[in-house]
Amino acid sequence: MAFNCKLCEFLTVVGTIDPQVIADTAVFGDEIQMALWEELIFVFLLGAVDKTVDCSVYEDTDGSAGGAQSLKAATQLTATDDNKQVVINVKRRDLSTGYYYVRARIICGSSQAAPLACIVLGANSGPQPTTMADLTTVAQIMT
Amino acid sequence: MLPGKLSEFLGGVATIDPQVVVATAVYSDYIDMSKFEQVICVFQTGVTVAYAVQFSVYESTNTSAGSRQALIAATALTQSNGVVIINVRREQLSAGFRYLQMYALTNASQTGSCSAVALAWGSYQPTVNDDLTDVVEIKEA
Repeated sequence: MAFNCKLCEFLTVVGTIDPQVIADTAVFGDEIQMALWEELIFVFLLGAVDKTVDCSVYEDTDGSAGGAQSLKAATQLTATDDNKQVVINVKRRDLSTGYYYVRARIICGSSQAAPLACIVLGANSGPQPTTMADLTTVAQIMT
Repeated sequence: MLPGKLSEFLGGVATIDPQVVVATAVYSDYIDMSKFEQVICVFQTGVTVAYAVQFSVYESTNTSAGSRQALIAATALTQSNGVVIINVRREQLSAGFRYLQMYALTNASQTGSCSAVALAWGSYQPTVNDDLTDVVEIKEA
């Protein structure tokens, strides 16, 4: 299937969990307002882990984590899953009634020595390009 | 809109796994651009200290780093928790070059982590068939 624009114009960086060592306290990504996006792809990246890792997507009723609950959760990864990836796809219609926001979540079984990260890319059916909606932490786009 | 899911149209084809990158360059998996129309490479930094991080995309003639040379290089990134995007279309590769790799390099005293992932749009769909074997789960439902 041919694609008539640049991927970076069609896909927008809308959330991250920046690369970091994550302990047994959950780390959440940026709140993403699903009214703006038709669909999101969450890519979780693991380093050389030595504990269990749970990757999931939470939904909220507002941008302040109201009514937070798990929307989709991947199967738990174990201490042997070094350098693996997990992909979670979320469409707007997947959200529960009354929920409008989503965010990535990572938690480890206990203190983890290795860094983990997540990147969230959004796509919509509205006007392109959507690059103006990239997170402000997107420092450069090279094409 | 796409007649399917993003995770079907985009393949996770290369990564630099989250790690502390120091003075030795780290390269990702090879990306065979004969299979893909274009690829979006997303680089991330964690809480980096003092030293700039260089992100770029290299091209090579084979999967043994043959004639490897820089194709697109971002300006060195000095900000913590930053993101750099490099978009590459197949036609941007030099004549005789077929493979891409992402590249990260910083300083020996760096303590912050970096990571990168490349998502590709395939010439044939679904691209999900070209996901790395390290992609252990794709959660859609």
